[in-house]
Amino acid sequence: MESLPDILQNLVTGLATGSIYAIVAVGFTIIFSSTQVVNFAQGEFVMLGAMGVYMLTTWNWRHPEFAGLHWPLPVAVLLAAMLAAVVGLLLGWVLMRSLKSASAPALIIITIGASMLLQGVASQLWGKDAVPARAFTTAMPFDAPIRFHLPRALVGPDAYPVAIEWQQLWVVALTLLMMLGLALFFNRTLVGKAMRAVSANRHGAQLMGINVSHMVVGAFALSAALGAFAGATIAPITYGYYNMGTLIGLKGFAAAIVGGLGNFSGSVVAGLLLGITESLAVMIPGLSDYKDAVAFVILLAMLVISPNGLPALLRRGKEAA
Amino acid sequence: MKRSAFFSSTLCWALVGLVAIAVTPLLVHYDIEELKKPLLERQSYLLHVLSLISIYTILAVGLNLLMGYAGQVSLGHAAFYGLGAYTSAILTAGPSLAQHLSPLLALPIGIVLTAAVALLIGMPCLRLRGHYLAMATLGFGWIVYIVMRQWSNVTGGISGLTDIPKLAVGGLVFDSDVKWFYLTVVSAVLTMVLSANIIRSRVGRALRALHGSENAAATLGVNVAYYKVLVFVIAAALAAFAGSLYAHKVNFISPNSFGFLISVELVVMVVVGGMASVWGAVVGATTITLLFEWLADLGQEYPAFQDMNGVAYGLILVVVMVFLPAGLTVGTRDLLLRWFRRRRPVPVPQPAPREVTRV
Amino acid sequence: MSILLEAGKVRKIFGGLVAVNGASFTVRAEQITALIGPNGAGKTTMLNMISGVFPPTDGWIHLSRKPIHHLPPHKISARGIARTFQQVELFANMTVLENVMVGRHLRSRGNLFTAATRLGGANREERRTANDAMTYLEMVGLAEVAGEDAADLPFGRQRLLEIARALATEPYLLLLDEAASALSTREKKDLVELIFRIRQSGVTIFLVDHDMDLVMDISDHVIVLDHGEKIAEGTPAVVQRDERVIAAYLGEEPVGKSGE
Repeated sequence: MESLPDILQNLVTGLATGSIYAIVAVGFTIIFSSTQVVNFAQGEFVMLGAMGVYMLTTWNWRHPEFAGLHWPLPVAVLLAAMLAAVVGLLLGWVLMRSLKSASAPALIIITIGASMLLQGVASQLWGKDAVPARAFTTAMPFDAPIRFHLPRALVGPDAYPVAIEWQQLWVVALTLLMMLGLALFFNRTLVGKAMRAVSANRHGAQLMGINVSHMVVGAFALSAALGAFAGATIAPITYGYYNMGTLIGLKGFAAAIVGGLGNFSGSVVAGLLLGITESLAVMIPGLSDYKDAVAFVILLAMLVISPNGLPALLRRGKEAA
Repeated sequence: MKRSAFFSSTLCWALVGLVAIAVTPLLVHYDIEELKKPLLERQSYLLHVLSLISIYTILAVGLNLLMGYAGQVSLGHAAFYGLGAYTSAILTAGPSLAQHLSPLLALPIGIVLTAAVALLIGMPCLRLRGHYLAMATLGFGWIVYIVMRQWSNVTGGISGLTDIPKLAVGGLVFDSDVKWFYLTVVSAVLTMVLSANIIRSRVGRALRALHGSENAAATLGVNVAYYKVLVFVIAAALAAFAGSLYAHKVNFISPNSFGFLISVELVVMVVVGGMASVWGAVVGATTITLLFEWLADLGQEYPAFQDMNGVAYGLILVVVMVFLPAGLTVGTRDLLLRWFRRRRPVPVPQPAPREVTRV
Repeated sequence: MSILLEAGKVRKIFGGLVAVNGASFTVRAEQITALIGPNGAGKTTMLNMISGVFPPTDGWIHLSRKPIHHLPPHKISARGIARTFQQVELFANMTVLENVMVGRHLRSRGNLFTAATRLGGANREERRTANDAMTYLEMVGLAEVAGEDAADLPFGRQRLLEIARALATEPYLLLLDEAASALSTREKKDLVELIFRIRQSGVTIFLVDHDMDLVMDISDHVIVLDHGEKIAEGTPAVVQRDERVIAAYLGEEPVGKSGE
């Protein structure tokens, strides 16, 4: 039986990574609901966020004249998100064009191709090594993790403290902020509602005068920006590297499936659950090596049991009861 | 009728295939270092590449049956390739086994084992449609890959397995590029012939009917679930066969050869080559393998181009899929047919007005 | 005429929607029976249950006194029921002839081994299947386009192809789902003639359609559904005069020729 501080520690880590999965899952969902396309390049947007911030703050562009662009961090994050949005825009435009003529496997391959392209470009520009990323807040008192001891009565005298990095809090906080922003966007703004209309009924939306192409491309840009924010936030914890998007994208995708493809709140909950499960699974002896496989096993199990995700499974359970 | 179509398209594909083969000498000429080497070594490299192409052809033909004809998407096919390779390798050279088997015995065992895994995975997963199936196969592929990497005691972990013994049939030992060339090419041709035979049969029609409309196929007596699993298992068995050949040819395997990238590569071969056409699989396998060899050459010559694989790969994928979604062979054939106006006009004779006779 | 198909108190509920609510009727052999009713009456649902697309929530369906309502579609096909689809579901990736050849699936032999190795007379079997399929194409008048891609056919001929494909299974019972919809007058005349020829060859026909004139002209037996329940059953003349039927259709199409 693992000690409580360890469990708590892993819980916190899981919450942070789970938040990233949640954002990626939401990004998938936004694109899928408006185009029925599964975007394999979603993880790459996360990478663009992380590397973009690096590029704008520390990287010296291989030319001494540009020695370190050194934008302030918030500006760099915003610029990176905009850069990712542009890339997302391009991808969305290409996909819109091919939507009619290409079969489902062909569309999947286009997004896979885009993903490879982005990874290739990233490795050419920034190399294959991990790049350092500065935490959002490094001045005092944010330079050391929060340490606290659990009550002696629960864990005994020898227990060591639980340490929470400030960046982890940033991840969770920003995720909550983004979810709030999205909820407001989709429910209160005209553009957001238009996007929802396109997801619900494309032809109907067209008849209402909504420019579907613009909405779709916009959905891609939005997902990209979201992913980039996530990447910029997680980079100080995991470091940025050219193929960090692959696994993050796939796990985020697994979360999207578990939460029910097209279901926003489902994606968020599933993402968090996945992150926590993954982090806690590490504590089971013999399983720590196979940590990455956890998400895929859950994905497979969910697809076999209930392809429409947990919500559908729960509904079935309620009906049977 | 269908005969003329087959011939006219064979011509087109043969053309495309010829172009691909014509490019091959360029491979040799491009690398200046190679040209300096004596003729025998140059020939050996060429034979090696052709052997590799043949092995990929076997993989592509199997996947083509699954994706092109039966219309099921698989993004984890490299897992079966790897299962075949690793089974062969572990049984003949694995550190965890006290006794080892001969390669000739390990080969069929690998195929049967992989087919069994495919059956196990296929039965629940093939109920899924479209992208759900794609995701399930994707997840499966990753799980196999992670196990290959992490189960070090048995699979050798990240470093893989070395000193895999050479394949030997009786006194004949396959230890040279020439011998492997003949073995792999013959295997590939056999696979293509078998595949073409299957397609032009009752079973093949059932598979194609699945792709056309599962509902309609079922109402005509086709057991949809059975045939889906069948073609999945066939594709997996062929992949395992290719895997075993690969393991005994290069005598060293590592998880990197069987990861997601390879699964994608296989799908690209099938889709870019042209789905629903046996030649398409060959063209796809040839084109993509040559492309990668050429990129590797380029990388060695001009260091600036090193590791451009990803960029080139991604670019080609996107461009081909956007402009020729039906793939190179089928897409080019359609293009050519349209240019040469060889499209057979569709006769729509007006039926003569008849009295509706009442019984 | 003996009873070929019988439905007993068939119910189908989708989530909260009751599509069919306790319908019972009989279809007699070698007759033309029609299932009619206003939109949403449950006709296609009934057809789907007969052909095995999904099972009924309640009730039973018997073919020649043997229950079939629990069988999957391919087994129902083996028992001798074939169908066409309202939205034509051809195999667009095959030629006209190949479409019909799929219909011969259960009437031909060949497994994976014989297919791959061409041993055991596979080539002979292929020729036989092609020839058999050709006769069905000739029956519906599509013989000259056998080599065309199925997707290239004009809509009316695609309907005929579906019928030929269904007939190729040598069924006892042929289900026609809105086979006359979206056809021109001339095409409808040809279809009617074809249906009579099919009936003459010994096949029982069960059709669902909206065209009242057509249904009343050719049917021997009519079943009327409304909101999932059977409200009338009998000869066309009897059904046309039924008050409930007239009421159900009031505001929709007029019921056949008036003053019969």
